[in-house]
Amino acid sequence: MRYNNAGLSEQIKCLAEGRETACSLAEKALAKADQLKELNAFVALNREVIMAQAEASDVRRKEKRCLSILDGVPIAVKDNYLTRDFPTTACSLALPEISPDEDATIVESLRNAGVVIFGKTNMHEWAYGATNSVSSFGITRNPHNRHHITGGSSGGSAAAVAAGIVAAALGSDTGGSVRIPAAACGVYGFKPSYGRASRHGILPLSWSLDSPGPIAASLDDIELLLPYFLGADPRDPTTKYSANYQSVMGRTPPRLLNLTGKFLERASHVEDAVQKALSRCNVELETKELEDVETYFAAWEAILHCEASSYHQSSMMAKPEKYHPMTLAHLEAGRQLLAVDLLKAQRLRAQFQHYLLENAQDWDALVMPTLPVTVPAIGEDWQEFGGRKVTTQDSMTWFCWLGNLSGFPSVTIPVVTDHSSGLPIGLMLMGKPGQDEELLATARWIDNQLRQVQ
Amino acid sequence: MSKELYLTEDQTKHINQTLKRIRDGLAQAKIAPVQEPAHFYLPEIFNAI
Repeated sequence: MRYNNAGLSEQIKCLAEGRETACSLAEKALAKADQLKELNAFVALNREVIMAQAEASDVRRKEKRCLSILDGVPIAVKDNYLTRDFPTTACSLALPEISPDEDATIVESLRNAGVVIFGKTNMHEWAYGATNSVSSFGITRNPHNRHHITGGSSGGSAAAVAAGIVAAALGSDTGGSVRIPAAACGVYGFKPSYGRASRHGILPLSWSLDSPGPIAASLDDIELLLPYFLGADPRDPTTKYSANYQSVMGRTPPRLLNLTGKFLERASHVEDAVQKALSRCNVELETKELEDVETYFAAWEAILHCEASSYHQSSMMAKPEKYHPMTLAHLEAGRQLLAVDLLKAQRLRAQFQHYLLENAQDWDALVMPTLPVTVPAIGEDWQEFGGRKVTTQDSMTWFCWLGNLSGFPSVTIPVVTDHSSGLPIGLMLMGKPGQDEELLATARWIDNQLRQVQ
Repeated sequence: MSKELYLTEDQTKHINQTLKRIRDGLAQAKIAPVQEPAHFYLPEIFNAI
C-alpha cells in the first residue's frame, strides 16, 4: 500500500495550516523518489526546476497571494504531456518533433494554479501498450511487489502515487492507460468522457480514443483536480461543448449494470472479490450479457492502429529502428488496414454507443472488474482465465477499451487486496457520456460504503 | 504504399495475427447496409455534454 498517506487533500490542509511549505513537500517527494528509484517511476526529475517552483509558491503564500488551494502541491506528469521545463519523449527513442517551450493545456492550468510540476513519469512507449514494460527508460516496477508490472501506459504515474512519492499524477487513456495502472497499483484513476478534457499538448496515440485523466490516492483528490481537466479549450475543438466541472449528488442507491458475456470473462478470484465488494454496498445490481464484444473490440483495435499509424507515418518510415519492434509491428498493422476496415469500425462505434444507451437505459453505471486478473509478474507473456489464454497485453485492456470505444467516462476504485498475492484488485464503473460528475457521485457512494465496512 | 519496412519474422507474424483478429471481428458485425455518409458516425451522441 502507500508508503505515505498524505493525499492531496491532506497536503492542501498542511500547507494552509503552515505545517508544511511547498519546499518541504517538494523536498520530501524528492527524497522519496530517490529512495524508491528502483521503481523507475520517473524519467525526468530536475531538482532545481522543482525547487524553483516550490520556492516561488512559498513566496506567494507568505505574501497571501496564493493562486489556488493547490498552490505548492507537487504533481507528477506523464511523459507524453508537453512541459516547458522538462523534456517530453513519450519514452521513445523516436523523439517527437515538438516545441520544448510549451505546456499541455492541463499542465498550464495546473501551473497557473500554483501546482509544482514534479517531473515526468515513465510510460509505455508512445502509450502504445498497457504493461509499461516497453520504454526507452526501462520497465516500471509495481510498488506492491517489485517483481510485478505496474500496467500501463501511465505506469510511472500510478507507481509514483501508489508509492506515496506524489499525491497525484497525470495520465492519458486510449484503452485503459489511466485505469489499468491505477488498478494494478491500488489507487484511483479517472478517464473523462471523450470531449470533456483538453488533449491539446498531449502527444496522441489515437486522437478519437485518447482522453487525459488524473490518478490519485482517493476520489476526493481526483475531484480536486477535475476543475483543471474538464471544460472547453479552444485549442482542442472536441471540447467545445464541455461544461466546467461541477460536483453533483447521484441517485442513491445507485443502479449498476454488471456486464458479462463472451470476451468479458475474468479470473474467478477477481470475480469473487468484486462481487463480494458489491454485496457489501447498498446498490441495485442487475446483470446484463453484452453481445458482440469481439466485434466491438475489433472496431476499437482498428481505430487505434489506423490513427496511431497515421500520426507516425512519416517518422516510422524515416527511422523505424528508433521504435521498439512491437510498437513498429502495431504501427505497420495500422498501415495495412484498409479504409473499408476503418469505416466499418467507425460505424460499429456509433452502434456500440447507441446499444449501451438505448438497450440498457436504466443504469447509473456499468460495472466490471478493471482487470480480469491480478497484475501479472514481469516477464509473464500469457494470462489464463475464464477458459481463455490471452497475451498479458490483451488481458490488461480486456475491459477498459469499452470506455474508449464508447467515449463514456470511466473510473477505477481499489476494492480489495488479493490475500494470496498481496496485489490490489480494482473495480471499474462506466457512466453516460458527459455525465462525468454523476459517475463520480456513484463511485463515491460505493467507495464510502466499502471504506465504512473495512 | 510504395515504401516497405524491413520486418522480422516475429513482427510479420504479429501483424498478420492482428489483421486477422481485426478482420474476423469486423466480419461478424451485425450492421445495416450503408445508407448515406452521415450514418458512419454519430457525433450527436456527445450533444448531451
